[in-house]
Amino acid sequence: MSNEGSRILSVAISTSLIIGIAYITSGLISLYNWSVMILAPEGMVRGILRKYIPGDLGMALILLSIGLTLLTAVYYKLRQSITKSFSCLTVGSTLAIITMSMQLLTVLASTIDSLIIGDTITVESVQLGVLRIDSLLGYVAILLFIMSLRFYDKRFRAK
Amino acid sequence: MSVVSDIKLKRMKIALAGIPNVGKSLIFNQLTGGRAWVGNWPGVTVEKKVGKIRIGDNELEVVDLPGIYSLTAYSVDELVARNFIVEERPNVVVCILNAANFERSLYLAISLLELGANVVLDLNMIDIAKNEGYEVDYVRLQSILKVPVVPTIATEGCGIDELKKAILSAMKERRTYVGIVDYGADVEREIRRLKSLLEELAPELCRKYPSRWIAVKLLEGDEDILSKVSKLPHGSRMLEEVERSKRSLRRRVEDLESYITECRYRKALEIAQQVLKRIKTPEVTLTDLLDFVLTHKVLGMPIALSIMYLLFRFSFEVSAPLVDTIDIIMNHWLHDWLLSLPGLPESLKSFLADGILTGIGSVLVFLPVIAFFFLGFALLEDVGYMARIAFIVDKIFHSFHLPGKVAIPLVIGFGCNVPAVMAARTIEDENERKVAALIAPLSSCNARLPVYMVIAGAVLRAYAGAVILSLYALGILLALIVGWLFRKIIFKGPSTGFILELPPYLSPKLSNVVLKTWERTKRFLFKAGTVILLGVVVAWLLSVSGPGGYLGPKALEAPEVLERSWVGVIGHVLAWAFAPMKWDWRACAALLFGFIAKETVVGTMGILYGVGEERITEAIMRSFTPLTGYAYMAFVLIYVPCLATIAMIRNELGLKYSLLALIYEVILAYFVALSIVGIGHLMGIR
Repeated sequence: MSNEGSRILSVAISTSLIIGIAYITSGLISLYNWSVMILAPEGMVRGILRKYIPGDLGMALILLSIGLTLLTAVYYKLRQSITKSFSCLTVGSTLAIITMSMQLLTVLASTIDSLIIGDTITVESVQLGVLRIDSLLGYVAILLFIMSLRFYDKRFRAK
Repeated sequence: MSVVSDIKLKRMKIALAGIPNVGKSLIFNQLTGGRAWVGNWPGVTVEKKVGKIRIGDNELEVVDLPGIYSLTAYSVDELVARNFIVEERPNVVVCILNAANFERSLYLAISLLELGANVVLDLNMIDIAKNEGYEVDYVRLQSILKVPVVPTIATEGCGIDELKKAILSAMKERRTYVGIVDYGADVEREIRRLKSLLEELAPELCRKYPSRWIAVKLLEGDEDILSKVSKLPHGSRMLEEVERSKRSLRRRVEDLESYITECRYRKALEIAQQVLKRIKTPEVTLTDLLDFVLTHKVLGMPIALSIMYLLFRFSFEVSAPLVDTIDIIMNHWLHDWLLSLPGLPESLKSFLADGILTGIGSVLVFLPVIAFFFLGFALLEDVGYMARIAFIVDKIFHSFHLPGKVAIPLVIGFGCNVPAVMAARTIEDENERKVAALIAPLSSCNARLPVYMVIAGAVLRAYAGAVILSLYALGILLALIVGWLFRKIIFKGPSTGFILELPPYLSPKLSNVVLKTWERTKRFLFKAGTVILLGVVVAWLLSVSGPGGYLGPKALEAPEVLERSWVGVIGHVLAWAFAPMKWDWRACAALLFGFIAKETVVGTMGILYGVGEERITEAIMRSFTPLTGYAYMAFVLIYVPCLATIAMIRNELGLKYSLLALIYEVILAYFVALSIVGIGHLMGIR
């Protein structure tokens, strides 16, 4: 592997570690918020950052899956399994970008829907949608995805 | 090899054969300009499809056969394909080879040649083989097999014209090569002996099948051929001779059936070694890279669930503006316009506005959701991810004594249960096939979606997405449990292994994705205009009339009058049966109409509550608690999917099994709904 390829992978893996932990944490918070909504009587227990990390079982599952995949990339890198590490990095970042795109599409659809049914559109509702945790982390995952593409070019296409 | 001249080309028949996921349907579409569904996963073609092409004066009928690996009589597909080739005698059999999975494809080609078919070989996916680092020398292959070989890339339409030319020329010059495999001196001697006996004792069978092929099949112990021979006048003598041959060979060959299969594989391998050229060192493909994670034993399942959840978000949330647009048009503008029409009798206005428009409108608003779901589903199919889902769940299925192949009907069932029941055909073992067809309706089809959306949206609001996902999971879990029970009690037997071709990941083709989405959505639209329309008309008629005679449209506005209608009477009887679940009598009556098609449940609710899609939410909020609402959705998930599915089970398995499906689903639905309410109460949930 060329030095540049190795450098790209090292940066990507470090980023992956940070984002992976962020995804896992967010997933756990979302799970907690969901449990609070389900189990605790209304208003008795306040969730954590509920505006940005809503309590949603599906969302928690996605955040945890992405986090787990990105951290697995780190694990394989530590075991010197470069190809496996790269696979996890690519799939994790792709899933993160798809999740982010879905959230942005939902915000767009919801805005158009409000226009159709005559509801008021507030800057805050759009802002909350765009800055929700799955969008936010998705923006960072774009960098990760670009790095994994560059690594693919160096490592696999260079042959 | 023999060459027979044939110049009558006017009406000819061509069959397309190949291993699963080799691109048959795509080549069928390219040849015929047809619109057969194409999926990047095995088992898409579950029954033969027919199309036509005209080349000059010739009208050619093209038949797309199901994907098969060989011509044994183990699975229904293989028997269907074999019988078609033998009985319909197509003028040319185009055997599509997967250049990227060459040896396995070649095995089928060899089997077809042995059957005496006039074969043209289509060497497809040469681009993928190239990416994987090798090339197939098709000129050499042509000279070895003595049949035309045409390289193609079906996804790009490359080589299709050459294939058409090769088909035409093959029709003029019929080539067969039945003796392609040498089974060794001892077996060949017995084949020759049986062959001459067959020609003497069973001339009519030899006119249908090549005598050498029958001899090989008899030695292989092919049940279909053995049964055909046993019915002949000299059948018992012939079978005695077969036993004699087997006895004499037993000293040299321990397991004759395996030995014959091995000889064919050896031949395929030998040819492959001669024609495969390594052009570059093997490199890690994108498919390998992705599959490491997507089929990973730990990561595979959460990723699959995440992708499914994203598919649901895409279907429900992104389609919202279109849902509201249709609702405004149907349930507000058109409804008000119809009611304001001057000169029309009140009963006719009510029939059009409150009956047809409300009923159909409350179903049609879900058209965008369904179209978006199919769009996402088609994308996943085309990319090649659906096959991975079957692979991921294989281990889980095995612990329920079910083969992983059952996952294919269950996943297809997410779209529609009718093709899901048909997809069970790809399962070789008869008992497993029956179980798969019987549990396939438990997979939550798109027709149930409108019911979930209306009820979950009304009573479970913020949790609607997760609740709907849980219903899909509940369907699969119940399918596994019921399948396990069936395997333990009725359809006993060992669980067979699972061989699934994992196709390479491909970029989805826009035209294919759009076509599939449209074809599937069109079915929903067609249903809305036929079965559902009929259902809501009947629901309206039963709502405005009762045992006391005609009640008039006022019944839909006055609950006390509606209770005296036929629907009221039926609803109250059903509500008595469902009393432990505490469902409103109107909701109970709607279930009855769901027997026709599940979408009718929502349409009927719209009529019975006398409201459109928007206000139905308020009505449902008054009628259901989150617990009773969830139990109702579970009941809708499990009880009879629709009449069409029951009819399909009858077609596939017979009347006895369709009745079994009907009865077990209703009982199971009742039991599950009752359990949900009971457990919920114990937990203090209302």
